[in-house]
Amino acid sequence: MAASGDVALEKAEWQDILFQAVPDRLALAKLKPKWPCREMVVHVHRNHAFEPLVLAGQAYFRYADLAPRFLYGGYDDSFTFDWAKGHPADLELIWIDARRYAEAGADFSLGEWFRARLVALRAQSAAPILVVAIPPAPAVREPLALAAHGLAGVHVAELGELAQQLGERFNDLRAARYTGTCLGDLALILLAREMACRWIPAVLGPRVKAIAVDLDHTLYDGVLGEERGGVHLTAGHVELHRQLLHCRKNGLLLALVSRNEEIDVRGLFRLRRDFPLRWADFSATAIGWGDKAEGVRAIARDLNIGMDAILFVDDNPGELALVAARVPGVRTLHAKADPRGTLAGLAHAPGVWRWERSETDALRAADLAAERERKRQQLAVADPEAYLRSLHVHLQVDVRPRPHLKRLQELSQKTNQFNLAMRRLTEAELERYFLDPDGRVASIRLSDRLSDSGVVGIVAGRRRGNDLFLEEIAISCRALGRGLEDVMLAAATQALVRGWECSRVMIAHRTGPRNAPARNWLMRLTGEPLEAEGQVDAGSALGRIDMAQYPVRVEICN
Amino acid sequence: MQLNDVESRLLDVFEAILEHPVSREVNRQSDGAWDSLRHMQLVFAVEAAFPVQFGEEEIPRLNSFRDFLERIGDPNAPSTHQ
Repeated sequence: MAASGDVALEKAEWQDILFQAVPDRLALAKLKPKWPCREMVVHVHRNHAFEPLVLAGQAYFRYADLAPRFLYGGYDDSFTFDWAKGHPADLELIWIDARRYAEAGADFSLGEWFRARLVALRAQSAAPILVVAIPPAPAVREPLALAAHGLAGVHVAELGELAQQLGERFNDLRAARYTGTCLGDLALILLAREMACRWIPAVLGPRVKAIAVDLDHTLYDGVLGEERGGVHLTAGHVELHRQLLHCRKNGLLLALVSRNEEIDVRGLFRLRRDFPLRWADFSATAIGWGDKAEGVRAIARDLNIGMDAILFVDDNPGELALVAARVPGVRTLHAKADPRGTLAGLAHAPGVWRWERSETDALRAADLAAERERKRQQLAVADPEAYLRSLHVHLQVDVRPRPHLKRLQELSQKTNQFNLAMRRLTEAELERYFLDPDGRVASIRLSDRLSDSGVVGIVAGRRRGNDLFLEEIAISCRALGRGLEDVMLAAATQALVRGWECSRVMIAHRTGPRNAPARNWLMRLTGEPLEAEGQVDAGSALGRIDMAQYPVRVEICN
Repeated sequence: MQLNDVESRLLDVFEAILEHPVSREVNRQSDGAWDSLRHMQLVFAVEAAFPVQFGEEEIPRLNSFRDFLERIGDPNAPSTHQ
């Protein structure tokens, strides 16, 4: 098995081939990975061939550390999905050529028919559904996107940009007879690139939460502090800065990891008004002469995220290898001498691209800055409780949080530290709680005078007889550290049992790699040790929590 | 016998697509990896590597290394078409 450092070096070389505007067909075919990839099952529901894409795009899946096992039904214009019934998958892929319905008659509505097919697939599978439809025309995509609207966990790919880039090369009608699809070779390769590096990681994660960038030869040409040469910002670097700002707007945090003097770096950002990126855009910095692996670890601690949620970008392959070897799970991207190469790699770095920008994404960077301010103010005051009161903390518990479905799924999927059962619910699985008359879901929203953190917690379960079984409890790490876990969960539970005589509140738990904070909370609450997996009755302990003692305004929305 | 540049590059393409070492004698019937999917991959890869484009009707007739070589236009390639 290849060491992490070697993998980082190999991936840095692969970037040159994978992210060309027109990838070299032969070079692509020669790329063979030597690192372990994540296995997953993908059901392919299709009416034209998908296999040529798999063959053409293998290297992209491997670059994204994915080893999908594609299971195929027969070619089926009616998309019955029967063959997959009862077989679990990580992803359901609908690979559809809509031209086959062109002569279906005036009564046929592609959108209405497709909506019914999506509903049928959703009824048999809770896995995310990815729809890739050709031809790449608005007349096809729009009705399909409309058909998917409001259905949990369904994503319809947008191919317009790709079609524009390829023009007539999007299709290759010569090949249709032999491959079973009219897609041209380059279209297959570039679609594989989108699928492996963007669409699937955005659906199945893990997502990158922070991009930690080097400075010299990465964000500009030259070396800061060198008397000769200096710092040059090329047009390509300007574009790279803007792309990073775009990522920040989409909820990714930016960090700086640089071997320099901090005073020089601050001075650089102050003096260079031509830099689109400003010092304040970085949510964390690790600047100094120590090793960058320690810098990246410090960034993870500072941002309170896992090391595997960081993408480290550096022009020096040696630094990439060192960081990859010493920081478990960190992703790496080689900053090329030509910043357009870095841009292309960043645009396709697995886990960076998003299907959409959520409200929480927009709040993230400001919320983190507010948290810093809270900590700074807390250190400066003599009475921490008075300080907490001065923050005017507002907790809002909503027992009809269907509009926040995507965020609740994100909390279940992404929260590591305060996640009790580690169920990693999909949108469709969460939706089932809403459809079940006995299902109970509460969202917890947190704000104070410094920031609105958005929805930070989910409590989901089911009523069985007189008992409430809580099957999923997760609180974002951004809401931890303020001693509010007790009041948040007492309020959520109280809201969920309101109006009926509840005997027990059973909380499911399971040991995960990093969920000790949640397990410790449950042990402290109940006063009992926990098995590796199981459920405990926490009803009376939660009931004893006196919410009035907390300097927090609790609002329950029914 | 020395391989000329075109043959050598074409072998390189074949080995990359079929994912195993091949000789100039390789043909569609004798090579288990050369299925219809790989066939189109070969067609696309050869088109990308050489200044050649195959017509729809000739694609199914490219059944051996030598067929491809001949079509690319190497004057030393013996014809296999009857």
